[in-house]
Amino acid sequence: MQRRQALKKIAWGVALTGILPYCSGEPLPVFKNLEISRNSLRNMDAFLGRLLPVPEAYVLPEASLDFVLYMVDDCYKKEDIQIFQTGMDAFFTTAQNKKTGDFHSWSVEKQSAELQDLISKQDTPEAILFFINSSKNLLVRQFTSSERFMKDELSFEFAPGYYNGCAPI
Amino acid sequence: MPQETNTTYDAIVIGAGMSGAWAAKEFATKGLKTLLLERGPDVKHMVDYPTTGMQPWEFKHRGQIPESIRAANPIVSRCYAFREDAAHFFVKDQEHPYEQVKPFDWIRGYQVGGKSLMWARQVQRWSDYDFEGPKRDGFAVDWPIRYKDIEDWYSYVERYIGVSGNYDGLKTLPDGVFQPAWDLNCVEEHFQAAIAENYEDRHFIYGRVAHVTELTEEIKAQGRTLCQGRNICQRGCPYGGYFNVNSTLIPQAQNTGNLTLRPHSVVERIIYDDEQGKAVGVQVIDAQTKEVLTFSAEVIFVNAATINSNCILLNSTSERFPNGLGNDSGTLGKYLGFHNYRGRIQATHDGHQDVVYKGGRPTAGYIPRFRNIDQQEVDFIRGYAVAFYSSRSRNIDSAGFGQELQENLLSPKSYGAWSVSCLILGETIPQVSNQISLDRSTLDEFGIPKPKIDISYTENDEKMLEDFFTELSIMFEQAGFKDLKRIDTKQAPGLDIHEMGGIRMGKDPQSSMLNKWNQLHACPNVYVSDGSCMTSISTQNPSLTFMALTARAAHHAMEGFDDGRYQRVDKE
Repeated sequence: MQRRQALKKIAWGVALTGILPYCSGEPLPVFKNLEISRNSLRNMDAFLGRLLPVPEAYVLPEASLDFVLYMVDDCYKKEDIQIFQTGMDAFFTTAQNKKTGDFHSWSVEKQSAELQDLISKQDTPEAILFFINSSKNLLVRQFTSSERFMKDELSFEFAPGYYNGCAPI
Repeated sequence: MPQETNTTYDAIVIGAGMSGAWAAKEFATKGLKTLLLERGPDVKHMVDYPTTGMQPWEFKHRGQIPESIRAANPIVSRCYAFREDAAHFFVKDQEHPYEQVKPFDWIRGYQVGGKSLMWARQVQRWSDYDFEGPKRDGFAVDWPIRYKDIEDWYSYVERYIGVSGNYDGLKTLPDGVFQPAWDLNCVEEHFQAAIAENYEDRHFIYGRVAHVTELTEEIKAQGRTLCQGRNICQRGCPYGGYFNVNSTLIPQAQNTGNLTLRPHSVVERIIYDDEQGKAVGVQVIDAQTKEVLTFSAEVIFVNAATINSNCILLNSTSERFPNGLGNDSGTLGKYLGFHNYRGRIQATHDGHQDVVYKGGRPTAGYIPRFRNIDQQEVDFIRGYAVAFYSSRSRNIDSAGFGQELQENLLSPKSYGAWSVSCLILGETIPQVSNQISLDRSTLDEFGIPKPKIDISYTENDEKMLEDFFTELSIMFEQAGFKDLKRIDTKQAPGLDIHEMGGIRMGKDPQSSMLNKWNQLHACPNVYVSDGSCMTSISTQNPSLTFMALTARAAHHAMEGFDDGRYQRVDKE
């Protein structure tokens, strides 16, 4: 399991440096509600990488792209999925209209600058902000519920077998 | 299911949950041939706990219920424990529909083990302040038993299940047979001291809980070991750290060779023989094949959980009992009660900044009922207990995005302020208007009439809730807690998962269904000893009392096999 996750992690790392996800005949993920093309998946993957780059040492249980999209697709209310979809489409369309080519083909610096621009502008459409904030919240949720984070940062113990009600910090 | 080779037993127990498993174990270990019927599937200890070893990060939705499931199941989704890790143990809304005359959230667990798999495990004894309550305060009917009648049975059950608690010496909450308690945390000790400083008649104690903290011979013989403080009990525990019937009573009964456990068995009715003047068996529908089967026995225990036990008796009509088995009094399906869990207070605590708790513990603080104990003192009758919770978590900085966000998330974490909260555990009055009936015009998939539930709060509950807000706010402020928020969840009855009554015990057959041994007055070879037998409700979590009443009733029935009231199928 760990080895498979590590290999997946490496694959995603490679993807970020040039080889894109879902690009070599790999079947697209099936969503019940979201409509997302192969190109949108690549854009989304790059976008999530700019929102929260995951340290090399962190092996997440699943790709962030999969986690975020399945959480939205499975756990959001219909109306929120619609806003997310609208915001996602608008984000990448807006970005594409400003620069040359798709978001995923830009340099990391350009991607980050675009993200910063949309977050800080006063007139960014609500749907785009909803899309950004939802994606960020889900990324943070995935990251902070990861094994490494829970054990290293939150001292998580699965079966502690003790209770100290007054431990000095 | 193989073809039935045996349809005649000494005893039939309907329902393999918290109380039914007690009856089955007592019978089987005594040597009685026992059939235990359960409408849901089998759940074997360890084998059928699919999520028990899963780490938080291994859940696809990190514990959250997908929206499609939530939308399809609005009732059970309101239950705090209906989460990704334990949803498989809960009955979905469409599995067994019912009619709500007023909103009622019926939370169920149809499987071997019933709700004992997912219960909150709080176990407090009743006292005579509870058993004498209806007589003193003029509601329901007088209980036919007092504390002395059940005291030894409480001990009997506590020794078996393992109860962690302190000897508090309170007259309202008798001490039991306890294993060592976990520590209180420092905020609980602080609140305990503040209450002791301001009140003589109010107490803050450790919530007694059915978890193993000491390996007694009895616990070891069950194959259980110490609670590890995982706090994911609702998934089933591979350690047997908390009590459920799957790890204890049922395997012990099976090991005798005297128990036949039959899952997927929906009981349609109890068969009453007019000529013999007694119940002679039960009619069952196999949930998988829809085959109708009949099993016979000398003694029948009804432990299908409150509402289903009521429904079974209501559906068990005969020439002698046209309104339901044993229903000469006309009280069957009436006088139900529940626990009022609507009120919460949340606050913060600025003190104890230099300490935190570590590890895990399966319980919290508990304030036993303090209102109207020795005399009527306010404008509502009875009272409420209070559960107290305190927690403190680390601050996670999730500001920014990109590298900044990553660095913030991984930056050294300080602790936030202590959060404290409390929850009312209010006694409701079993009103005649709180009723269960059968909608005979609508049949379920087995052809059984649909339950119709009509239960609601009363003015007494509203006054009690207001008193809880007032008094606990004062107590919180005396402890220095700040930023108090009063929350009335307005939740419907049922979400407390403590519905009781409808087949109440009493002294008089004209006003009750069961005698002091939990036998139907009018059909004494039928016993009912789950929540439906409760004459009044009290404030305490009720499962311990159901178990003690059942063990007591089972021994009474077993004496009947010795004294000739009942005949064994296999006379040796």
